Amino acid sequence: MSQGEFSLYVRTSEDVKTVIEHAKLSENDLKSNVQPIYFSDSFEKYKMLELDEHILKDLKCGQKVVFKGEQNESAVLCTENKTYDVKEAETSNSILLLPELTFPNEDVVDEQLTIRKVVSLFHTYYEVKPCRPRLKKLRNLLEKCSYKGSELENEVLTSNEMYNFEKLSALIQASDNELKCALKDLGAFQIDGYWRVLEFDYECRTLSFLLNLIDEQSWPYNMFPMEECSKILNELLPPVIVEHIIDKYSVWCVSMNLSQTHRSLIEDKVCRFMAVGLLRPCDKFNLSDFKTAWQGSVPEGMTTNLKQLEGTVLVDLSSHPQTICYFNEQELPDNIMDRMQYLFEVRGKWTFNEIQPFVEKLATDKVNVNNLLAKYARATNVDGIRFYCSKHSKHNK
Amino acid sequence: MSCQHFQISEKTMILVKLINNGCSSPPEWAAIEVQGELESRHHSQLECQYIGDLFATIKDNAPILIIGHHILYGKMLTFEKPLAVMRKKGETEEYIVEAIVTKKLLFKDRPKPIIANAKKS
Repeated sequence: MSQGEFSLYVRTSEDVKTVIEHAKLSENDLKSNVQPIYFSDSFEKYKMLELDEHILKDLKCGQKVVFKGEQNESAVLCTENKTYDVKEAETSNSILLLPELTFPNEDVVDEQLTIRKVVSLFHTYYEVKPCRPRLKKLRNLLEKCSYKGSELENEVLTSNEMYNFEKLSALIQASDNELKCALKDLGAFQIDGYWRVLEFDYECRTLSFLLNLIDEQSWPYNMFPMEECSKILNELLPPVIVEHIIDKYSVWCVSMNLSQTHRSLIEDKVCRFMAVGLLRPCDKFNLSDFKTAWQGSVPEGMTTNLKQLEGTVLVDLSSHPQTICYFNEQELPDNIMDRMQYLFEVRGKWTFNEIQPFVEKLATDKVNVNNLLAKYARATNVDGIRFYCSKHSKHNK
Repeated sequence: MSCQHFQISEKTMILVKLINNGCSSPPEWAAIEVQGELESRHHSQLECQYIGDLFATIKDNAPILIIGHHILYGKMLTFEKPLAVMRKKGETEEYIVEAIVTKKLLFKDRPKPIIANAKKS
């Protein structure tokens, strides 16, 4: 860096000496290296982004780091594994950027004057804060183009946008790994490279085919022969659907000699699906009638239990008779404030165990369900039982 | 300090990449943070202007910045989270991280005048 670039004013060691005197400083107390600071001849338009160790590491490894957001969405920053909320923070201070500077604790050369240039000046930077992926949109997008059966497939393909992973990754405010997990949670699968979910009624039909077959053949639900089962179902359904439905509702048997030939239905998943099938068409169900109907609907040998329905239903134990209704966590708003407001509109007060399944997904490593409730709800004690209700009194019932 | 949500214009996705300078990581730059705004005399443009002299004390490695007739005592700090210096690459959907800033000299106190009867600038 030569001083010649600065035609306006050149700092000399005489000038510096004078300044030290004026400031009543003693040259003996100061390090010999003095750095006159200049603005550079042009300023760059930089954006400043806060990085945490994970983002920095991912950048250094050449992993994908990306801002995501459509025009109506506030942006997030995604690495391979994590999602961050991004906000522009403004400070009243001025921050100067210098590509080169000797910090006071660094001892250097005998040079007396080293000119330093400020290449940019800023007051704002992007703050990042780990957040939950925003996944509600994923469900909405996939449900619009859900698979309804081979006879309707042409119509779906021609009248809807279809999504491969790349397209979803660009549209969904989640990291790729979070997106992969969310697709799995949704029970999504691929047909010809596009991610799909089964339409609910169609899924009911296909799962019944599987359950009826197991029943007809008198196979134990936790040990049915894979090959024979798919062979029969393939005559009724497209193979890709048979594969999906078996994959979604069963696992390979654990026993060594059956681990490649026989599968076992996943009890909790089958029970949950049957419950949703019963509850979805109606507003409310008498709880004890429901329990009877539900147990009757699942394959022999399976035991239904309300615990299987956490995050999927609301049970009202205070009404007479007691009732149950369908209430799916996956359909609630992603934004914590909106979600809490919605929850308190649906029900005035909740116990911890009741509300937990509907808030759990918004918790992070640092902020657990208790922290979220402390921040976004009001706790009260009624007859020794702790309830959570809205912070805004108008919602209190 | 104020905060607002950040929106990315038009495009749904903007990649962030490190500058490819043949090193495994971008160069480390420094920041100097001062209170308020920096203005030049007569409000002329800032480019190329001389700002002031930066000193360091021998005893405790403290930075001292003298700007015009003002003296600023500061300290060295490490950012809790480092800052990436990003530049939008042309009209593309990419930000290039050209440098990383992990340390700053913070002059958070109001500058002190050094000469009692300084000439008005």
